[in-house]
Amino acid sequence: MSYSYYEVYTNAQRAFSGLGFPYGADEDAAYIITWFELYNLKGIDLFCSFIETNDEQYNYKINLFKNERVIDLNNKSNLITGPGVIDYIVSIFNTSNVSEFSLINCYDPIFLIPLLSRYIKKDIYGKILNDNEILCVVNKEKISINKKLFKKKINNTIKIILSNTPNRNQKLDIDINLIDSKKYLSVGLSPNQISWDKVAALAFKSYVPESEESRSKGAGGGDAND
Amino acid sequence: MLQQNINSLDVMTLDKMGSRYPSRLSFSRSMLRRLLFDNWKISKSKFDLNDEGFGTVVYEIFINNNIYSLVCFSQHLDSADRSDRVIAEKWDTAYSLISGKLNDDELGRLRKNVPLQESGRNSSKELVLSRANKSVRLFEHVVNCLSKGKQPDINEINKVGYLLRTTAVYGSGKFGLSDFNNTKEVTDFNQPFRAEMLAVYIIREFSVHLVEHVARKKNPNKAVKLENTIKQHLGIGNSTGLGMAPFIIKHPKLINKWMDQYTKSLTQVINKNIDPIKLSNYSKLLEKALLYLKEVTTFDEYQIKKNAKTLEDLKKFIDHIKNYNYIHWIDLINYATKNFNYDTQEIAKVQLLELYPEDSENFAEDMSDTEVMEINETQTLKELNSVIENKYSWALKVDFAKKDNNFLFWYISAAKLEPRLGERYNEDGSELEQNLGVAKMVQSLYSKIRTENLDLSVAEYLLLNPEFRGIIRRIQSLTKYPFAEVQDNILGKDTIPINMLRFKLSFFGANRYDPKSDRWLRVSFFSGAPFLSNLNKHNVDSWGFATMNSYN
Repeated sequence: MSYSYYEVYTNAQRAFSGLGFPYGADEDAAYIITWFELYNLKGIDLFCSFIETNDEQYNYKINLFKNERVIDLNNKSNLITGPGVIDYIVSIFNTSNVSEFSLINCYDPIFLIPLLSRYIKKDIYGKILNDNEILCVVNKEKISINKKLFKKKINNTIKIILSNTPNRNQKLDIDINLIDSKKYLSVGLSPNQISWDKVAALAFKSYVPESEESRSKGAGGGDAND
Repeated sequence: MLQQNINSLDVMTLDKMGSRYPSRLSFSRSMLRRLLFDNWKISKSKFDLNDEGFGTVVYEIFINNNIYSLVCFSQHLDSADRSDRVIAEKWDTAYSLISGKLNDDELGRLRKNVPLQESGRNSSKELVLSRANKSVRLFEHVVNCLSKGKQPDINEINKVGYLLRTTAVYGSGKFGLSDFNNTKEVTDFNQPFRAEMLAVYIIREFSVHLVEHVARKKNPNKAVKLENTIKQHLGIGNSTGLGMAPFIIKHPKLINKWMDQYTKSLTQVINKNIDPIKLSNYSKLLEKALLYLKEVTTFDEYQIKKNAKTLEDLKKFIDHIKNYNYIHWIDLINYATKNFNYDTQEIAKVQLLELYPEDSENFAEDMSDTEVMEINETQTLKELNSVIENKYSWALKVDFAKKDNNFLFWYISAAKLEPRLGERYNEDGSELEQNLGVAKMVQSLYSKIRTENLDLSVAEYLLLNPEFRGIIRRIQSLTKYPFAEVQDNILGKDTIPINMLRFKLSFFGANRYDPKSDRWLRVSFFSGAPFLSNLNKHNVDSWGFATMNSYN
């Protein structure tokens, strides 16, 4: 079944809200999930895998060491911590010459990619690496991803390098051509139906059941048939 | 200067938003101009109705080299099932505007889904989904008249105003429909709600085709068609509830764009010199508005009083114009602003725009905006604090310690997934409140950051306080958007939600504003607009404030 971008985003946003994500954090997390779904990278499935490991506590405290280049994410999901972390490293990048940042205990770095892609229009290009290899390269029109970035690992450490010039193209496992978003939008998004139903059930937690009284008062609308 | 008067403080309060009228920039008006001047062609490709008017009709729309189809499904509906409420599950008629020419397979798919409305599924080919119920009284009356070879009395038409009344017109990604970003990119409908307005306009055509068909089948030998002078007064009704209100809070940049384009159009016009011919035409336009207000029917006490006051003020304004010589339009507008109610002020402005069509033409074709909101990471809390004090002083003034100022909460209903309004201290569910209380959220943030190290950057602050991401992003993103915020506390007990509805409906071009409570209302679209058969360059833009004698 095909869904619109609006439906996927709204369902995800309401589901995150149902999980206790505060206003704004729910929008960022929904954006991340919808971004993956738009590019056929199973965003709604990724959401479900997050649900399985989430303890339903929106716990976000992030320790900043004195060294601003190292951030400890405490193995929390980047659906929770990612937006704030990327904002933070971009702010340091913009106000100083620092361009390399280590994210320690970074459990699910895949969720950082949509956040980095938002900065392309501001000419900030990110690259994600670990000790041995390049995991993701963000360029003007293309994002290349190493499949290993999808793996979730406790105590994982990655490095993010920001630059004002586009990165050199790298041959990695997955290429996302950003211009394809129009093509995907025109045919609709096709999330896994079982996962979709799980997310919809979560979204339902953010709705208010109606009593007969609230139905009549709250809705407006009438039955006059003149 | 009027520019100083038309600032956000003046126009974005609920009472002023609730006093707006359609203008040349309204979406129904601009759509009809494009239909005519860009030579859109519309024809019936299928008309398969039984004697009672039940069946399927398809209209094809040819724009440039593209084809679109509006499919109409008409069915029998028991009186008990006919309801204006969004919680209804059956309707007299159901519609979809789709991109492309329909084949039998697609028609079959649509027939299974479109009459179900929210419970059906749509694809990205579908641009608009709608449904409408008959105005039983007027529909039957017109059928009876026409079948006897008579025309209905226009006074009877005026009492209701429409044969069919829509209860929802969905677009922009709802229920699987094409997202607006896609519609804008791949179709000819590049302005907000343009596809929706076209659908509504053709539904109006269908309403007349339907009533004439039923009358003809009832009495083939005597039945006549509706005369233009009668049928042009028919609009398409619309019943609207709270669903529209959150849209205004959730799309602040779009709302700003609409108001900004309106204000720019007006600013261009008001600085012109008044010439006698224009002044005479202006008086006629105001007289037309006066007559329109006399003819409009409503049973809502509040609206009756409001209309009566507007009639009184508008008369005074018309008399004033006759007796004084002004050089610039701005002086007249300033006089109206100082002396008359908000409705009269608005009528003075929208009718002035009619005199100078060239000044609003381009603005009306540029009503869309990017709606992206972004965090400004490097802004300090001190700077943010200053923005709040400058731009949100209206929000800081509200005393939320008073229960009445925190009385209402907006929520999504589990039953219909639609926005609703609850009473915080009398109903359950406020813990699931939607984040629409901007004034309350701003105050909460403001009181918190004043106790923080104000040299912190927003990015640093949000690492530990992500609960403020939404409101900080909103405040930062809207700094340069003066018309983006509703500058009132919409959680207050005295909030009249339909003021927000009227604001949005005015940009849609709805008229015959008829509140049924403080939460829902009825309006008409395209009342007085020429039908396709007689649409021309002389009448395409002359139907604002249409009255019963407008067509003679």
